[in-house]
Amino acid sequence: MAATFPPWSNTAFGVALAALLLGGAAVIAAPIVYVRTPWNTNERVTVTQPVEFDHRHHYQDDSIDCRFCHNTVEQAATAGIPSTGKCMGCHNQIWNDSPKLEIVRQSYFSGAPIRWRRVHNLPDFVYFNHAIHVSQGIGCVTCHGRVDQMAAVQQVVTLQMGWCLDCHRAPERHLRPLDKIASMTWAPEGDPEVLGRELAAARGTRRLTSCTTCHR
Amino acid sequence: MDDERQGSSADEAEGVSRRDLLKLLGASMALAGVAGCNPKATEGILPYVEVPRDVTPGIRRFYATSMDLDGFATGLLVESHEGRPTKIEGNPEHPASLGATGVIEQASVLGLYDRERARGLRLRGGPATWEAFLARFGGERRDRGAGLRFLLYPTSSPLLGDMIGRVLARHPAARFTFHSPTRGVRGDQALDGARLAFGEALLPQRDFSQARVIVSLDADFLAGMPFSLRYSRQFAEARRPASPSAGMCRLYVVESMMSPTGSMADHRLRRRPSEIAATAASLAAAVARLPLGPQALPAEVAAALGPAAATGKDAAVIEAMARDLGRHPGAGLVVAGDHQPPVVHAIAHLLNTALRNDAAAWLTRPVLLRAGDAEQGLEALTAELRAGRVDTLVILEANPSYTAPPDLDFPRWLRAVPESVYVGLHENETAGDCAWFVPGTHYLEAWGDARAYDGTLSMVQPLIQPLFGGRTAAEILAVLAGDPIPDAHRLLRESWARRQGAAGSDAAMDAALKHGLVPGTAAPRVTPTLTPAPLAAAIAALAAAPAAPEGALEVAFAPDPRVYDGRFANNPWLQELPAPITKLTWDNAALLAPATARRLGLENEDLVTLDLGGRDVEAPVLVVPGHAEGAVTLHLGYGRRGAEEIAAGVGFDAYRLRSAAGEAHATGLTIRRIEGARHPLAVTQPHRSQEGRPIALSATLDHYRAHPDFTASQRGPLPSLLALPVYKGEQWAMTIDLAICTGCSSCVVACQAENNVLVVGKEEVLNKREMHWLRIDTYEAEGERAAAPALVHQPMLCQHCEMAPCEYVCPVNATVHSPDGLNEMVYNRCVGTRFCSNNCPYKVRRFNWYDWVERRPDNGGIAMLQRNPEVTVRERGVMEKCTFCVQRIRRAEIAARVEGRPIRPGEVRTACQEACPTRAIQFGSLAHRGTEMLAWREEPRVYSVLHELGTRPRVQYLARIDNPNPEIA
Repeated sequence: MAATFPPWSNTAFGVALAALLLGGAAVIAAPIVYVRTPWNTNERVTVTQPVEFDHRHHYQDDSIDCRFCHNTVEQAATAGIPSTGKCMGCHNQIWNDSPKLEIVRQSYFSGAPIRWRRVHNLPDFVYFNHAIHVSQGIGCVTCHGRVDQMAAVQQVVTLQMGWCLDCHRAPERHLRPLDKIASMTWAPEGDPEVLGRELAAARGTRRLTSCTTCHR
Repeated sequence: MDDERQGSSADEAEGVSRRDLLKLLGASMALAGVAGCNPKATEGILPYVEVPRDVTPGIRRFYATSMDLDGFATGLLVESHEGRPTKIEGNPEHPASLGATGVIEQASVLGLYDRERARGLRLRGGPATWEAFLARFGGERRDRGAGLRFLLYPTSSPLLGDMIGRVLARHPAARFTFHSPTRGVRGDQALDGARLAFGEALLPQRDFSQARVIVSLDADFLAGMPFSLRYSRQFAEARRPASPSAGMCRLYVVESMMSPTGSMADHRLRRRPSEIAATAASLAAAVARLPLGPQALPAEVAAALGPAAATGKDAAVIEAMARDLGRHPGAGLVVAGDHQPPVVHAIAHLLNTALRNDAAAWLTRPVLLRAGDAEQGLEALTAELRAGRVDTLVILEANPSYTAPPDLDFPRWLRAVPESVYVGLHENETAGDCAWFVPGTHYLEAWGDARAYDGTLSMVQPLIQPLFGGRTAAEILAVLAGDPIPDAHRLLRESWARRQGAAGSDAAMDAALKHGLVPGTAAPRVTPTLTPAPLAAAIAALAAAPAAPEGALEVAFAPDPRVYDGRFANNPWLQELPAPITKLTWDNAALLAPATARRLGLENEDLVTLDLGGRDVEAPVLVVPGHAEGAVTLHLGYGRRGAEEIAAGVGFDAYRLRSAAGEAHATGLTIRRIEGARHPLAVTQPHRSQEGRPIALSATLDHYRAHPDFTASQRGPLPSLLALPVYKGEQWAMTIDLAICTGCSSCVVACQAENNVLVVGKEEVLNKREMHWLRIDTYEAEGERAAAPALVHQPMLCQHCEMAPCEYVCPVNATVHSPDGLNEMVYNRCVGTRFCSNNCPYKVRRFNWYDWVERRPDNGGIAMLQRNPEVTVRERGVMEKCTFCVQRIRRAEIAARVEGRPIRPGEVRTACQEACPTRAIQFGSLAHRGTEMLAWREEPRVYSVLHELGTRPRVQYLARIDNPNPEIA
């Protein structure tokens, strides 16, 4: 009588058991890994805007400070998207017949706002405030990356709570002098930690990790 | 077929089977996974095309405006987020507000976003246009206006006065009716009372801070009168005992239904409504016998008062009241309720004059507009309608089809008018009886003006364009005056320029708009002399009037503390607000005393038929300890029959019982119990006893002086096995003084508005699922005053315990402590175990049993425009509770740090604190110095609720102190 289980069944059983265990682990691990990938965080995803606005040109060629257009960044929770009027302040003089700006002119003369698409999107239960970060010495580039080198703005960080907390637990490494807030290229001389500690002491920068700092 | 159908219906009857449930679970898990894979939809950002002047997106702004209620304005500051009004605060500069707000003002912002507001013009049910309206009503008339009639709420607006003048210039025979159901139909009792006492119609003004002894003759001056917010502040100033040696004013209240004022009284005489005049006369008679010096009371008045002297069990109390008034000449105040008959007002004037209470009580010319010969009463108007002499009736905002006494049969005659126009927010009862309907404006959409009760000119400016193309009353009047393109803003500027003459510059008006008022425009004091003859005659008539038969039931009609005369009945915040004293929501009821209920064999929730003079309504019974025996109080404003869905079917219509005089009370009510019929009442606090536990502490002033430390057992350190937390930096805390909390409940609505607290509806209130973060618990005082019954109001909110029981039991750390002493609730961590709520000894946590927005349409739709953008709207399955307005704390912190300075003492104010008329709620940081919040915590009567549990609450209370007259045992 032939054996019920041929000799290879030992191997098969081992392989099956391993597959089951690994598969089980994968089922648990996969979503944990997935939420951290750019597929979920929308990092490095190019968002097509209605107007082909190029930060490279405006920042590098024209040397326009971030805060000229994003002018409420030092006062309000939102940095502010410039009004159509602000665009037209320059573009009624220069490139005032460029077809690329047709939508801007339409908006200006019709009074209908331009519908930009959001790149950095926080969940609704997060109450992020630009003004306090800027006033404490967190530069634009720290979170938004080298926008001066982006043809279309992309999100360069995860914007997940772990990323927020990395800095909220130890903000010192990321602080910079207030006159270098909008600089895309500034880097501290020497150890950023040393300068950061000085700046934090001078400004009373706190490590804020309590929930209602951001969630209300 | 039949079998199958039966089979399927049997399945349905069993609900979801286990097998189906597992299938659904599996499917939902799979779908949730699929949904998780979808890329996030990108949101849009829509910047301004041109940023409006002074607007910074993301930074709220406040604009001053005024809310007019029956002609008297309350100054407000309205919070606006990018042009969207979200929250009402009081205007500290305005005499009627002094920074505080009442429940109606707080809830009014939701009224702006009422989904059932009318959206367009209508002519006999079909759509109509503004141009058609202009064409029909803007033209000339051949009859000089003899067939033209107007009906509107009482008003003090100089602009409307101007417009009425313009209408009369064009149509001299037109007539105006000012109708307020809460003021009675025959005119203003207070003015008639002054006419009786002084020979001219004058308005009584008061300053309660100047009074050491206050006698209220059925006057709910702390919550139910036009200047109540100011009176409350003044009362609190004179009342709050800052130390055991400090003085307190003494308050006597004579009333029928227990009011917030009555609940603050040191001595409260329960009187049937008809007995109040006699009690007032007894008091006057007792004062007349005091040695006040010659000519204090005119001799003939004193003689007329002779027979009014009190007899019976309360005679000693009235004598003692009189002596108390006599001991404080110039520092007393007798105040009569607005709906009391003129003779009561006259007696109040008499007493204030005799006792020289000039500092606390004086008179001014009336503030409300009169139209002189062009004015007529509602009865006269109805008679004209009946005679067919009116061809055009324009009704501005008032709702007479609902509020007019049924005797007049007003709706029937209104329907007979050839051209009737209704201008209002809702297609209500009156709109249904009128041919034309024109959408009106909410006050947050309107340009206009009004006067405060003291005459101060207050400005009404819009926060937003009319949402549904509404027109103001001034615009409608302008059409009738021949203005082809009326515009409320232009009308106001023109009227301003004309009235102010040389001072009427645009700049001056802009300044007035900025502040919300024109300073120094209060009506000047007039000092009339008593006219003894008519006064003596009225008092003699009072004494001669037969007393109401002992057994007869009386009925009092009073505006509801929430929905007023019914005009706010479609506001779900007000419907769900537990009424002060009764704690009733989503209903009105026949309110009566326990003894009366026993005599009639009634108990709570019994449905009864109330019969008065042949008219009857069905109403549920609610027993109110402290109500006068032999009387029933009915709140007006319910049982609405218009197109407003929220208001429809809530409560019963007490107007149906009123006679043509529309008086405030009547005798001869009969109550018949409807066998077996019950009507559940959603009462949020059915039990008032403290069961001997130290929850709402109270004592008399004498006891407090003898034992200043009477709360000592309820405060101070307790032994603990746990290490006590060490706190650094700002430490947020609250102190609440029960001695000056009147239970008015404006804090409850303010909290609801600020924190996006949703409405749950009557069914869920019955299931004890209401969501209010702050409630007012009303207890009967323990100890020596228990027999009165004396009430103590205790605002109860999250106590932010330093050793919080809720935090220990949360399995997911969704409720934790912040370094600045807040008990934080983290919605996105909460999984809804409700352990925290079970472990909270104060029962202040609220669970979202449902998605309330999905469940109740009034929480969603256009009402979402009211939401505070700085506060998360909680979803189904999470716990929520008071956060100490953490969004305000963080906003102040951020502002302070951006400006590089510490937070100033008093910079953070919670919503409840801002709304409180008496300033009974104080909030601040323990790290600050010199705030009232801290100073109060040093007073000997401070204590913590449920101190013995060792929770170390951050909210501390000051025990209620009463100041009874030692002469009255």
